[in-house]
Amino acid sequence: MAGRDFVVFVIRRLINAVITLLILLLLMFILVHAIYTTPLALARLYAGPHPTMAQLETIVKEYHLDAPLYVQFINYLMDVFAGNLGYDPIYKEPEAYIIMHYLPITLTFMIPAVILTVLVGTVLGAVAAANRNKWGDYFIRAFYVFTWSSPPYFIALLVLLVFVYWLGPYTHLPASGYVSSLLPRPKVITGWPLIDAIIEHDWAYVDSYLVHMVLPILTVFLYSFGVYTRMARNVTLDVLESDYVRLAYIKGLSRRVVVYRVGLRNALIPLVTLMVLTFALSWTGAYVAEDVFDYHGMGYITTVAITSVDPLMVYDITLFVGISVIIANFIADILYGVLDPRVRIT
Amino acid sequence: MTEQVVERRGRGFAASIWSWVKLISRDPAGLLGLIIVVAFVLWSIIQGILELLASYLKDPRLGWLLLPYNPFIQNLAGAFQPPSWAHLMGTNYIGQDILSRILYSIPYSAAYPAFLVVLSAILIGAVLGISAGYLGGWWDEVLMRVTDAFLSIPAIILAIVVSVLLKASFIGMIYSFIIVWWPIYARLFRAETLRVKAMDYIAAAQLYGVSPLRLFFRYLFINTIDPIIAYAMLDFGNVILGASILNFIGVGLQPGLPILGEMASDGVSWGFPKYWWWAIFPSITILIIALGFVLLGDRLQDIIGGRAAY
Amino acid sequence: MLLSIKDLFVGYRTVMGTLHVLDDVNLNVDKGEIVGIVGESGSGKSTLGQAIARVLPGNAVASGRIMVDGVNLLELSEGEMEKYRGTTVFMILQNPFTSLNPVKTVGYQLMEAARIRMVRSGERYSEDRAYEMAIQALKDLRFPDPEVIMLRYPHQLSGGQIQRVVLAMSLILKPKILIADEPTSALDVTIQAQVINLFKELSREMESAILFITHDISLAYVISTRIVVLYAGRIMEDGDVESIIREPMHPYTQGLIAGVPDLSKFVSGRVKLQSIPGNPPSFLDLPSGCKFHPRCPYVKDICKVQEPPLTRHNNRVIRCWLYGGG
Repeated sequence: MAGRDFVVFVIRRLINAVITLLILLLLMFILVHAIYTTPLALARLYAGPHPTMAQLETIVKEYHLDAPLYVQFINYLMDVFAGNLGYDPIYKEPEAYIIMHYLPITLTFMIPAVILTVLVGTVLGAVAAANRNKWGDYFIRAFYVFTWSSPPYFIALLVLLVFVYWLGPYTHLPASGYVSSLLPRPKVITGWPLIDAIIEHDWAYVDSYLVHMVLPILTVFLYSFGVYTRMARNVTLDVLESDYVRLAYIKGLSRRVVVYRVGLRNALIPLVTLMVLTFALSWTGAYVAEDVFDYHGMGYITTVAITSVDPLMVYDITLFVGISVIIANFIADILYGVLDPRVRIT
Repeated sequence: MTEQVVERRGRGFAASIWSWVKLISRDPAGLLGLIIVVAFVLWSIIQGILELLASYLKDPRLGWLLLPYNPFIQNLAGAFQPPSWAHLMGTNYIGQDILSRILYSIPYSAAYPAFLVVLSAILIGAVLGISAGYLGGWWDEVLMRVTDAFLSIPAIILAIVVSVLLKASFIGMIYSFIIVWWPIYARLFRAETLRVKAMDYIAAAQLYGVSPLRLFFRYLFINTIDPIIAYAMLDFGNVILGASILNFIGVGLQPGLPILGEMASDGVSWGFPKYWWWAIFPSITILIIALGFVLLGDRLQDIIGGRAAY
Repeated sequence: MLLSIKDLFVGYRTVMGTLHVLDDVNLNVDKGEIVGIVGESGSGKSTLGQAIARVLPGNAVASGRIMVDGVNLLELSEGEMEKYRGTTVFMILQNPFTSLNPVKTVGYQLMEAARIRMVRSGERYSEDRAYEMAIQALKDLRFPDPEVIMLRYPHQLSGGQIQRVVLAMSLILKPKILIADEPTSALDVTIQAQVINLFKELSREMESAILFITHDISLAYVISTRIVVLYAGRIMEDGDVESIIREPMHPYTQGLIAGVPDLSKFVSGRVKLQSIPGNPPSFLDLPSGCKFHPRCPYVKDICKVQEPPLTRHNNRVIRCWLYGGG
């Protein structure tokens, strides 16, 4: 595998990701300006609730909201790349600062949930495909159909019911918060509370944090599981019906080798796309889990921003989510290159 | 199953519907899905007609003709009742019967958003996707880039922000869903168009000098729509789930009208699991409706995709 | 007799009911024979190949006997059948571009075949030996730079090259029965000729029984020692290549030959260049009696009602009421 070819490939993917990001920013920009057409209307975004006309006019001058659109867009781009997302009128702090406080809390439980979904889903999807129309298949399908059609809050409620109210005495899992409110937050080193606590050897904090993470992870896992496993099953089925799998059989390779070493290995390629999809989907699950379990992460401040009418916050959070997905896509593209020679060698 | 990809003539419409029904019902899951969806659609139509009549005749009682109770009437003495024979699904904090509220809200909580959003998304997606696939060039490139960007944000999260920007009303939520939903259909239509474009009969039609409009409808649209119908069936469920999530978070509500997601949210904030029936029953309703579409859509995808063995 | 098929029936369960694809297939093939199985698209010829290798899709049902070395392949369990695949029965597929595993190099896949061969022969596996076998096979298939090809991925090769790689695989595996399912249909004519020539050379070297499945009767003429004509899942005629071409007995065979400009000159009697009117039947809706009767120029009343059995006339096997029915 020529090293230089691969580096070129990575750079091309990177440029692609940046272009997508730019277009995303453009679209969001257009969206906002299509709804808030006048400078005064725009000013309302940055103002708090019940602004006076004088306040609005000050904002228009300060943020150059009366400049021509393309100028505003350039300013906007420069702001975003500098990390300046605006000043939140309600919290009275820079948005970026607020978001960086809550983002790690969401990611710390979301990422394990996604990994769990991918691992379990791939295995179960392959098992279901390999045992098509037999009992294992039906059981797995029934399970993912159920989790797929369930609204995420229903899953959260079920998880609550089962693990806190029925099995509570045995499991001692907490129903709210991300850490016991009695414990102080560890010193900020990385900004990720769990990692900071580990560095500081604050095991009480780590323990409490992990225990609080269980139910939200379970909720997000169950929510994304349905979509992923169904697609994993379908992808594996398609691969198992392809010619080269048949040829592998005809060569005399054992069924196990054909299904796993040839079939699953090839199915991994479209599955990588599914993993990105799962990551994107799990944001939604995370939002709802945070609502039900009173977990103070990105979903939580979104909900708060909605009720306190702070559209700027909602906008910026969404931007962050979008960026995280673009990054996930980029990583997936690289994985593609590793897994599929057709992509990296032309 | 050989594909018959030609200009379709209208077959006996009723006859072909019935043969689809038979095909679907060979799978018990597909049959269950079909039953649920049909019940859901019928109920929404009936209830919708009653509501129309009610507003036309200025008699709101028609709206709850078929319901056990008037969904709006308050009875503070009978608040927080657990499920009983009198109130099959219990009552809420001001004594309203939850079952009636659920039945009353199904049409506009679920049916109208689903159909409005998906059908609009299909139309917009068809026009943009087919033109991109057919014409290619820079138009195609632009569309791909734009849909890429749209798809980087999870649909529901984007819907939240657009709804909030549009002041979070019910209609605003529908608009925001349509904005968020069309890119996927554009992509699907584009992919199908590319596949179909390579077929000879398109070249033949062009040689005949078929007009672009006729080409679009009679050839491209008709022949690309099959897999998209199966996907749309699943998607109805997705929209219903998505709308309920937004409602749960507090977006897209209509003051005064009961909405399924909102009822679940209220149930949770007023006390879960103490008043479990308040949160659970609306959630189960959404679950059943979505389940119907999932089962039906899954079965349709298997049939159309040739994966159905029997 | 290396391969002996008796009363083979194959059907598929589908959403529309059970399709009866192959019926009353009786065929014997000896080692060294090259049998050209000729039939139009949809005649069931691919299904026949898949049935012998037992790689039919999951919704297929099969009955009858496929005897190899005294064993009925249809009665074997998956585990037992696995030992027959590759070294006893091997198949070359029609579409070269989907035949090979896209994520592994050519070398890997050839050496995989070599390992199977070695294990089945009781030899101890040695990577060097496997590499040698692969290189030698590629040389036999006229690859000028086998070491380079070993490192390539399938998507870097042309269709003709891939088919030659698969042929190399069969050289390595040395199956007793080799089934080639339209191996050249997806290739350009010039490459086709190249591959066919190689095929002929190799079949002389290997002592396998070869089943060459094709829709092109002139191609079958060039390659085979014997021709079997298949229509609507039934064997219509079976005889050695020269006599079947010069004196086709079955009206369908005559029609096939009449459609080929070069071959029709061989046929005694005045046969004009023409195509057979009508279309092959769909397996959902097979005609009664003889499956060919709607398109047969010599159709009689009995043909519409009763299907003729396979009968033997000298060295020809034929299914047609024109030649008596026994």
